[in-house]
Formats: sequence, C-alpha cells, structure tokens
Amino acid sequence: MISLGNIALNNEDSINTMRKKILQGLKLLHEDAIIASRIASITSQMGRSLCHTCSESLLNIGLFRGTGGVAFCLVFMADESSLKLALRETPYLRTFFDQIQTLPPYKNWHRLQCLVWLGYASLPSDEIIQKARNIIQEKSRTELMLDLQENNQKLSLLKEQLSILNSQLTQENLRMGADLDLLKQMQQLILPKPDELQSIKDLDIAGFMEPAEKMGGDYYDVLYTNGVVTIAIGDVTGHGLESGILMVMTQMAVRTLKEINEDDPVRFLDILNQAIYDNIQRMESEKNLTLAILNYADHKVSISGQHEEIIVFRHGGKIERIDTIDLGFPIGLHDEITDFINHHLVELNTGDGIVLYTDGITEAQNMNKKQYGIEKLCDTISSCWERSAEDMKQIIIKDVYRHIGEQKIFDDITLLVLKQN
Amino acid sequence: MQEIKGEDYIVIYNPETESISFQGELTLGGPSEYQPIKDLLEQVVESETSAVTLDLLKLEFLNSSGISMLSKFMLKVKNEKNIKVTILGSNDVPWQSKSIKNFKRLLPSAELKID
Repeated sequence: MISLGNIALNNEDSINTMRKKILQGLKLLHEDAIIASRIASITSQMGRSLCHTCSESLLNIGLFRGTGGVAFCLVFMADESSLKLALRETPYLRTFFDQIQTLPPYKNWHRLQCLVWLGYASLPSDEIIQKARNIIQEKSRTELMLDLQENNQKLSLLKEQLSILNSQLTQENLRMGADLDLLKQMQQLILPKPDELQSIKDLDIAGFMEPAEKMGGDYYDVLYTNGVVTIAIGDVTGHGLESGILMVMTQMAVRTLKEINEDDPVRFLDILNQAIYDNIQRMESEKNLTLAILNYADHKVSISGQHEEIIVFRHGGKIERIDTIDLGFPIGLHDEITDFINHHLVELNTGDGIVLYTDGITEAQNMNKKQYGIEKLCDTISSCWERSAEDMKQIIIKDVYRHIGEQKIFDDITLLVLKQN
Repeated sequence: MQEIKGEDYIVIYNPETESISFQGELTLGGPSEYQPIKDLLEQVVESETSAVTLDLLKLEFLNSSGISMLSKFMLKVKNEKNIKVTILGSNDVPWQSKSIKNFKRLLPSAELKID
C-alpha cells in the first residue's frame, strides 16, 4: 500500500476536515465525483461514531494495488470494541465500498480496511500521488492553531529568557557607564589646575578637554620645575577603560621623567615608550598612543614625539605648521623607537604662540560627515592671534562646536593654547 | 574575491592579484570592531602567498584604531613572515602621508608606491 497520510479522529472538527480531504482526494483519483462524495459521507459517519465511542482512533489513507487494479484504501484504526460498535452503527458501510476486511492488529490497533476500486490497473503518476498526499496531509485550521499555540508557548519562554539576559546586559551597561564616568573624572582630575598655569610667568596658557561619551584617551599636561616648562599632549587609540588607564599611566610616566630632570628627548621618549610598551603587553592590549613633548625655557621650545601637526602662530597671525612624523613614533607600538626620535626647535617672540590639539578637533564631523580640518583650525587661530590664550581657546572651541552642530561627538576634544608674554 | 563591507567602507581581497584594497572611510570603534579585517589580513599572510599588496589609494580616512591595526600587521609580517609587502598610497590623503611612513619603519622591507 502507498500511504497518502493519516488523520486522527478525535473531535467533530477533525471529522469535518477528514470528510473534505477524502472528497477532494478521491475526486482527484476517481473520475466519478458522485462516488467521491458518497465515500466521503460514509467515511465521516463511520469516523463520527468511532470518535464518540473511543478515546483514540485513526484513519490511514492510501492507495492499494490488488487483483482488481488500484484501489483507494481507508483503514480505520481503533480498539476492538469501538470498531465493532461503529460497524454496527454504520450498517451501510459495506454497500459503499467494493471490499471490506479486517486486518491483523497492529500494535494495539485493531484495523478495518475498506477499498474502492479506482478503475485503473497501474498507479497514477508521482505528481498525482504527491497532490493527493498534499490534500490529505494539509493541516486543518485547528491543527495550525494548535501548532501556533505551541510555537507561541516556546516563543514566550524564549522571550522570558531574553528579558532576563536583557536585564543582565542593562546592569552590565550601567556598570560600564559608571566605570566610564569614573575614568572621565580621573581624566579631568589629573589635568593641570588654572593656578599652576598662571604661575608660569613667561607663558600665557589655556587648556581645554571635553571627553566624548565613550571616552577616548586624550591627555595633556603642563609641568613647571627648575625654570623649564614641559608641555605634553597625547591621544591613546580607541575608547573606554584601557584607553583611560593608559592615559593616566602616561601622565605619571611623563611626570616621573620630568621629576628626574631627564632633558634628553631621545632618552625621555625611549624610557617612556619602554614602560608603556611593557604595560600594554601585560594588559594584552592592542592600543598605543601619539605623544608630543615640548620643553620651554627662555623663548625657546624644543619639540619631540609624534603627534598631530603642531601649529605655531606668529605675531600678526602668520601660521607655521610643524610635521611631527619625523620627531618620534607612536608610543607603545614597538619596543625600539630611539632611531625615530628627533627634536625641532622653535623660537617664540612676544605675541607668538603654539596651539596643540588632538584629532578630536581636526576630525570633528558635522552632519554631512565633513571634518573640521587643520586648515580651518589654522584660519581660526590666525583670526584671533591677538587675543589672550584663554580667549583664543574659547573662540576655537566655539567654532569647532559650531561646526559639529547637532552631530554626535565621536572623540575627546582637547586643545592647548600657549602664548609668549 | 573576499569582501568586508560597512556603511562607509569596503575591503576587498583579490587572490589573483594578491592584493587587498581598502576603500572609503574606516572609522570603526576599536580592535574588536576591526577584528574581521584583521582576520582577513592574517588569513592572507597565513596562506601560501609570497607577496601581498595593500592598496590604500582609495582609503580616504583611517582612524587611529585602524592605523594601529595596520601597524600591528606590519610587525607581524616583519617578525613571522617572509612576505613581500607593497603599499600603494597617496600623499594627497592626510592620514596616509602621516602613517605610511610609520608602516615602513615597522616593516623596512615594505615597498612604498606613493602617488
């Protein structure tokens, strides 16, 4: 027998569905539509009476090949007494089918096989058989509803698990947010204070730092001992905890080297690089940083280290840009950088000055993703060179924020203006 | 051909020409976001190839995390692989004029072809 499918007969709905399927299926296989309709009716009567008497019954539908050719074959499956009772309640069954016989029980099922000869000797095409299978096996609305219900239950369980996960993530986020807040405080805490800057009589200095939401690792410092002003500015790659920690480590390393009066730029940056490099290795971090160190004494500035271009403005507004590529190397990227360290000397007369910044300024984007750019920065500096360092700082920052507009701030914004008194 | 694509960038590896082309603006947030590109670079040097070209001509912007990733790549090649690296770049692109020099310092055997 070639099976076309099974239908469980367990309620009125399933009987109705079964009747429709048999009608449709048999119409496809038998040329006489009236026969199809009769078989569908009698099968549903039999099914209904089985359904009433017995807790579990099944109709197996298939194609049977026998001496009379190919038959549409229905096998009712139920317990013995229900099957007998149903047969008594449906006495006309035998007049509708060509052949009825009891099959040997299968597992706990007692089986009654009913055949209708289809009037042809060989099996219908695979395509027709598949069509018939689709009809018989198509899920009823009730079955679909049950499936849907089951899936919904699974989904709501999943949703519950997701919401637990979500709340864990929210907590984690809050915790990380708190960490970042702490780091931002740390970054601000370690900045030089206004009275320190004012104590340097030769230079008028103003600094600004605004951490981005995700906190970058910007750093600047102004240290004044033994008549030498050491100015440092740096930017750790990336954002977050590691960047913040490296920024603070760098501040401390610079301060220490300054305290021991290391005034050779090569040794200064080499030792600093070694210390930071080893810590980065220990942290298994991918980060590194740009760092420029400026030493000022008596109108002269020595610049070393690789960072953004350094902008020198002259009395009158003329701008000079100093490329720092050949003055150093990223700190913490490689363990040997002495060959790359150099220094550049700049002389400052009254009214001259230097502007230091991080890429948070030059790469600040507006809504059209256009960067602020170094040219614009130079123009702004040139236009306000006459003002005090503090005024210049405010004018520049205001112009950068004007450029950013409603756009998000992606990186820390750091600016340091120093001017020869 | 293998591709890694984002909103503003595309990285294409062409095994026939043994070249990795970077195009657009790469501003991913840190090493974890650069991992797929890093993996692609490492996969290429781990393969049997003896030369690789990094075509940066159309990479208009690369942020510091991206520069760091390429720098690490240079170091990896220098320390572990005998591969000829050629870098195509342009002095007209600000980040390139600055960083390609650092790449060469990290991997002195690299050949620079600068427009």
